[in-house]
Amino acid sequence: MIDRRDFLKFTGLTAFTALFGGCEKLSRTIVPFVIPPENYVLGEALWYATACRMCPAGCGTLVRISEGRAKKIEGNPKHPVNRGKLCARGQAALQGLYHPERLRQPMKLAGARGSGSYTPITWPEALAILMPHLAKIRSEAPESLLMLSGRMRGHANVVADRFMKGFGSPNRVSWEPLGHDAQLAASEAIYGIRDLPEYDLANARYALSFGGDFLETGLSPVHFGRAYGAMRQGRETVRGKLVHFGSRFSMTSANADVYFPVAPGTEGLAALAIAHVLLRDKLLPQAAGGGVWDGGLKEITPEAVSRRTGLPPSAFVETARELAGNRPAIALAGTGPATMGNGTYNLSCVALLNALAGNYGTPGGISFPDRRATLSRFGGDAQLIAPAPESGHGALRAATDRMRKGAFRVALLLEPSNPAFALPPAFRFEEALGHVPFIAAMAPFIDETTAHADLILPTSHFLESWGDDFAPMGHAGNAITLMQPVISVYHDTRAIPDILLAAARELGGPLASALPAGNFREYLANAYAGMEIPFEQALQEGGYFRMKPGPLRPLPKDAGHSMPKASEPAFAGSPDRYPFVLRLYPSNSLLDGRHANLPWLQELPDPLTTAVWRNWVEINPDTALKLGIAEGDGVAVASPAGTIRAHAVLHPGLAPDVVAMPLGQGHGRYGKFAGGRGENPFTLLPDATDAGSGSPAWQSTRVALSKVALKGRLVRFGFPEGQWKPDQFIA
Amino acid sequence: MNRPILLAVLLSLFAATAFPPGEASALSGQPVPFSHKTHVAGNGIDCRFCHIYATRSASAGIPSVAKCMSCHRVVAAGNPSVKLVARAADEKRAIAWNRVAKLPDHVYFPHHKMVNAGVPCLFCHPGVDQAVETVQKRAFTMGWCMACHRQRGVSIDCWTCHK
Amino acid sequence: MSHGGGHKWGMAIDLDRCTGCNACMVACSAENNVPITSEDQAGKGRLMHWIRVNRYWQSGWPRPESVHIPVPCMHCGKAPCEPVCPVYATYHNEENLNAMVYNRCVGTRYCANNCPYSVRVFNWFDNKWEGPLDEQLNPDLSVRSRGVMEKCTFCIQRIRRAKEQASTENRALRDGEVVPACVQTCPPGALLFGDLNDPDSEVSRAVRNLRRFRLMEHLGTEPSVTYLKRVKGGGT
Repeated sequence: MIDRRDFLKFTGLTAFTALFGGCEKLSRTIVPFVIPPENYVLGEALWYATACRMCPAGCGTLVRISEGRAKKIEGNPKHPVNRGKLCARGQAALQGLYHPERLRQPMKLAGARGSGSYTPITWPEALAILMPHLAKIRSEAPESLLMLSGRMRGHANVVADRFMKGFGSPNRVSWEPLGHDAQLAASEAIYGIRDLPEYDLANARYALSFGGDFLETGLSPVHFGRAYGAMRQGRETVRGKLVHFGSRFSMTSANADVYFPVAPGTEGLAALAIAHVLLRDKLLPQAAGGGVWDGGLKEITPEAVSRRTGLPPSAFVETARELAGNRPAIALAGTGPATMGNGTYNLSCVALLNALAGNYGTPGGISFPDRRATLSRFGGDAQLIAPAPESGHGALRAATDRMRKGAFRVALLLEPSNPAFALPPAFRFEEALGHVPFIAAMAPFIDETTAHADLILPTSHFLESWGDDFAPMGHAGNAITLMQPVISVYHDTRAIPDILLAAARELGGPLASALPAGNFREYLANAYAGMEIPFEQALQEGGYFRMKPGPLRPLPKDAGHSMPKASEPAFAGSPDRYPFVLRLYPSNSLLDGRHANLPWLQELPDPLTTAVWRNWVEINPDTALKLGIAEGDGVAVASPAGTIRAHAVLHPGLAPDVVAMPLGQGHGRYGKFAGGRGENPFTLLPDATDAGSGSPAWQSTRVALSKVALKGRLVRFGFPEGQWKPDQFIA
Repeated sequence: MNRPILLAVLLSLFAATAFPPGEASALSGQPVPFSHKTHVAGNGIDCRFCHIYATRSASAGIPSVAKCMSCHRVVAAGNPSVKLVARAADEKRAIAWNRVAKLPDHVYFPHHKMVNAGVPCLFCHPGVDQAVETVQKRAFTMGWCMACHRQRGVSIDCWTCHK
Repeated sequence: MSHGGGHKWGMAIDLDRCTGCNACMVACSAENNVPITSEDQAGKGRLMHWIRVNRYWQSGWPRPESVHIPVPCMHCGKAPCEPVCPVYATYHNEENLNAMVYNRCVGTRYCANNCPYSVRVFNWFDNKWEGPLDEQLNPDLSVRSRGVMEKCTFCIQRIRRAKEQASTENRALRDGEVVPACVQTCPPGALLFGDLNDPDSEVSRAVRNLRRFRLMEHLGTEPSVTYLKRVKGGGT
């Protein structure tokens, strides 16, 4: 009897034909199995279900395996979040798996920290370096251990938590720059529920987007992409309408029927102005304003908001009337307004609009299902399996301050979300790392953060790992996703939970008894033993999708809503020296930069500018004309915090006093595909946060532009018939 | 670079660019001497008993070590060639056979479609049943494939057989 | 299926669903062994994508509007690329596919010059997949060598696989059984693929939609890809 793991072991031995063309390159030998696995048919592809970890959305995938190699990823049709669909980033996961620059064995620092100079060593050698450090501080000062990771989920997170508790250190930080703190804070302020709402976009007749980026990089792009298609053309007689208020013309706004440009940071006010008209004109008689009207909404008239946003008052009046006449309606907000200094305020205003328009709990509206109800058997661990999708920014700041004070003797960086790249210089994260005497990273690549480690333990790709996942939204709780290695481990790498389990065993004592399993697969199988669907069968399906969804959570009455506390966006720099507000946005392909080393995504044109392989700065054509900047010119973008250079893209969708740049490029140390491609826009930012939630504020500075000489040119996906001609729009 | 080496390099370059010959007799030296004649003509074993994927997959497959040992644990266990296989089985080591029948990479040849349509194995692999040392006697030329496809009224669209 | 005779493959692209997210492009590259070029080569207009998403600006500030249009090979009924090939490397097959025979191609690039949709891409170099990226290559397809033209095949290897499966199970192909990589991944379901000879297939129903149009139809190319117009502004 051969089980699946043996199968994976054996597949390494099979023959497979060399793929490069020409007969002379055909492999000369054929190596059949020693013992063929059961049900194996030579040359027939197999599909294994697992989860996608390319962004925090948590989609389910199927991976096509041919002769032990992963060939193609598709969405898992049974998975409630993505229903068989997948985005460009998910499709590109295979390049992360087979990346030429992936670490193949443990690495020991051979030069100065940050130099990226490492010597390959073996696992026993690596553990012989790491374990004495851990053993020493465990007996002397266990709280001087810091664990910094990305936002972990599932039982991997449980293992990491147990490890730190068993070790005796409370210092665990999970930092995810793509967190949704502002949305969580807004839900809490308006609905009293600190969770992400479920948006039933597919059944909405009218969707109002406030700086929404839900189609490209927002909460759950594939989930919303699918719903968007259904909203538009999924019903026989209804075509849902999408109206977008925003301060940057994004991919989502390009799909809107109407785009209303507003001044950066006034997205929330725009939502309130619409709510004001709804109540003032009694457009929705059933919607009781309650205390909100007298609590301040009365003053937020279309005229007042018009002065702030730059839109005519009629925009809000007409939108409110359309909304009232086309139920069910839904309001969504996105990364742009959420990452302002008044992010929580913006998102609270949008949430309040939903509440006042009576969009809660109706088909085509929003709802708060109790998703964790399906995890009730895990008791307190449910919070660890499905943690709130926070950025953990405040915790990282506190830890960084304590690093500087010498509080940590050992830092473990567990696939960190590259804080050394994705934080403003004023955060001084890299400098703080220098105060930690010993840093061990567990990561698949050397990037700006892991390059500070004294020791790097190479981790397995998620396609090579056991695990489970629980998407933060896009389902009602019926999406416990299981992950399995779809191929055997390709390099000499180990999965993070397995490294922690082994370390716990070696350290012994209460730590070993807190983590009793021999390996993570066993840990996982034990955790899911006794479910109504057996573990093996759930693995085949990709998870427990047939679980009964969680119930909807009741809301406080309308009277319970209160006006969000007014908050203004803050932009560093004086308007006369720095005339333009800088709008930064996660790139459709590279996100915050985490995928900049994948060539498929580097060569994927930006949806609006069609640029590839480096970054750019988007400028309104009239503004560019005034500054003497032409398409493709080198531009110095200067903020009070720093200056970077980029090529100009004349962007007809942008306001004259706003410039925009995608995040993701400007890596110094992330391999040859990411390196040397433009400069990093994060370095322009002050160390600013959203006042309401403490999450990073990427929309926090003004900039000045000047023309500079810049080597090379910005390549755009040339399709001459579609190029925009400046003279078309300049009167 | 001295002269004999240069000559060898030139010869090997020539050999690499030449189309593989139909009569591949140079490919002797299999890791285990194997006679199809003993198995097929001598003992009347059906091709598909060993090439188990022929009816199910594009590749007919070469038997695994375990498949060989399913008979040879008992049959002819003392034969020196069988002993080589037995040792591989004991050591859980795979055997790397030299490829005999060669198709270029741009050809898609589904064995199962042919076999299930009733094309006898020996039609394309003539004389293998009598071969002490396995050779591919029939040259796999496109014209030969096409002639048969035309005669049987099977698709001759390029993408039926090319990839 | 009620119709007799063979298949006539066709695609429908609903621009009212398409968001421009580019998922189709990466899915296609992954499925079809489409090489990555480089910034330098991309700058020379030598990107190799078999499907691209065009973005057309319709108006600018203060009322910016743009539309995204995915453009794969149109598999024209009267394909301008076919008659200009001196070696018959591009031909029309019985299932309405405009197919390439890579081994015949001598690299004149006449076909690409004559394609009004600019969907043909040329291998200027022997593209390398730096190991172990080559482990991902699809074994159902060859890797094209230098001097060879290539383009979207409607994932002909998937058509072949589905047909094989159906014949093994001794049944006709079902509607929706053949799914090219771009169609399979498309999050909003903008892309549809199927048999135009089957009047009940999803794609046949889509091409009867009143929003239908075909790209540069006036050229008489008879494309097999039908677009459904984006409905902008209205809808409520």
